[in-house]
Amino acid sequence: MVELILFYAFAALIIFSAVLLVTARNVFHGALYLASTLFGVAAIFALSGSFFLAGIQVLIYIGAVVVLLIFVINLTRQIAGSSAAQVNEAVVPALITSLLTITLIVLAVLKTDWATRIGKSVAQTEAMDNTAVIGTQLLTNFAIPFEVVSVLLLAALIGAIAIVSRDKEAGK
Amino acid sequence: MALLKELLYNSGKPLSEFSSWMHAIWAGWGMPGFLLDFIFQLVIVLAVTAVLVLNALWIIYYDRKISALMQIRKGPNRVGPFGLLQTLADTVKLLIKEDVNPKKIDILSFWIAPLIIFIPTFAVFLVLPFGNGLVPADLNIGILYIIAITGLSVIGILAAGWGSNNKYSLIGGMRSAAQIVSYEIPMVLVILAVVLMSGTMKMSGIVAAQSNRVWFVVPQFLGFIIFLIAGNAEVNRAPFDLPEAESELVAGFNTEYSAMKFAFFYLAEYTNLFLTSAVAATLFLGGWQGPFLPPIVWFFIKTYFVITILCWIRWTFPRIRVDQLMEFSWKYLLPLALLNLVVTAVILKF
Repeated sequence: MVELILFYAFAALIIFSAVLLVTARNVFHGALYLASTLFGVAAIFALSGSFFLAGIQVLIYIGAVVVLLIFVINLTRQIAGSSAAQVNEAVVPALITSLLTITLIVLAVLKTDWATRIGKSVAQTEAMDNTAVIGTQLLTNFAIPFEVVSVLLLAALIGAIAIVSRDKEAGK
Repeated sequence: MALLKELLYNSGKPLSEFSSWMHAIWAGWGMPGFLLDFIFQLVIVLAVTAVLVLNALWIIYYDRKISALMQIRKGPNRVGPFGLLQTLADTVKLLIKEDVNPKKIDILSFWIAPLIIFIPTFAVFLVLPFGNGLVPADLNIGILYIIAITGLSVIGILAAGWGSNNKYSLIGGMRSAAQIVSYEIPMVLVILAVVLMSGTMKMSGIVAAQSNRVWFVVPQFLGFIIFLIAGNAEVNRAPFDLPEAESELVAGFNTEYSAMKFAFFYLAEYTNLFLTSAVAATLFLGGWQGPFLPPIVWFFIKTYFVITILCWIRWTFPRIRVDQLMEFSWKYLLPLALLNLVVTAVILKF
């Protein structure tokens, strides 16, 4: 009962701030609404018993991604000061992409056999510590994707360093 | 008397007995159980918040007295005995002062910033073991929760800096965010080494892991030092007080704030100091454990020991430059913390 009320409260928070996020004319306000949306998602994770995911969601998405976003907005005062335009010439491709994404998500939700999946994962997490399950899975079944992601992040890191040092040389 | 002793030394058991006793009575009245749980949670939250606010007032006085000691002067000594009521008087003054809102602020960011900083600072204490069984909520992800929630305050600082529409505030906010993000990484790596040693992220588990052997400060001495340095940087205190460097930035991100909103920042700053010290005491100094005295007393003794070290550092070191600040974190603390983690993992494995 309490969980149901909390679920709907946080779901409402997510939708409300997501709508505010895309309609906000001020980019900085948009970033704050994004933080609130992501916080709602973390709360839903926590409600479903995935405390580790909830913690990581707050740590990575709010603590790192939104902070970097705000940092960039602060560095570019022109967009932050004036109100940004809601539509530009990319409106039609954006609409198509969003519609395709929505179709994909809806199909995935409808096709999933929720009862058995949730029952299985609950049984699994109750047998072990939630964090331990994720750790074991990452280093056994998902070892290759895990390593691929690490290489991707490393490449991004080196790329950023390369771009910055090239600008430095050009400046001199 | 026996009950009082049990309550002080082994708080978990009598408290859960009281809870089930109340539940029985409550069920007798025909009321739903979750309502009572909710009331209990509300009482716990209010009690912890009250203790923390009073404690923050006391730490402000303590910090001022230590600074006076370092600078051979008397410090607050007029209001109340030994000036003990000085911070209380300051708080009342801040409460009744006019709330000044500059003309060109961004209303949403300016108003929400003190809350984004204030609420997470207090929410973090949810998982901290104050005594034996005295944990508001002993989450499995305890220490991860602390790291995640403390990270939220960066957004508040950035919002305060940007919303004030003042170049000093903006620079202060940016400096603070860069500083906290940079020093969070070595801090997390050090905490990871502690988690490796204790085999759990639960705060009570980390305390329990230190019960039968030496406290983690001995095997993790390097980690303890890195934690103190990074923790000091995260609470923006000298020598890392660049975000509010008064000689160059007026007061940094809280320049435009006054009255109650300023009090929020001030209380959050000192509660953060208490938090860093309490986490250091829990992770490295064995938490609430100690002989003779009740656990909660030991918890406060150890926490205040760390606070004293941090105050000592604050009042004796000069402020460092921005480039030195970044260099210190990325070129010295981060490699050392990584080395500490790898060495810990290798030693634990073999």
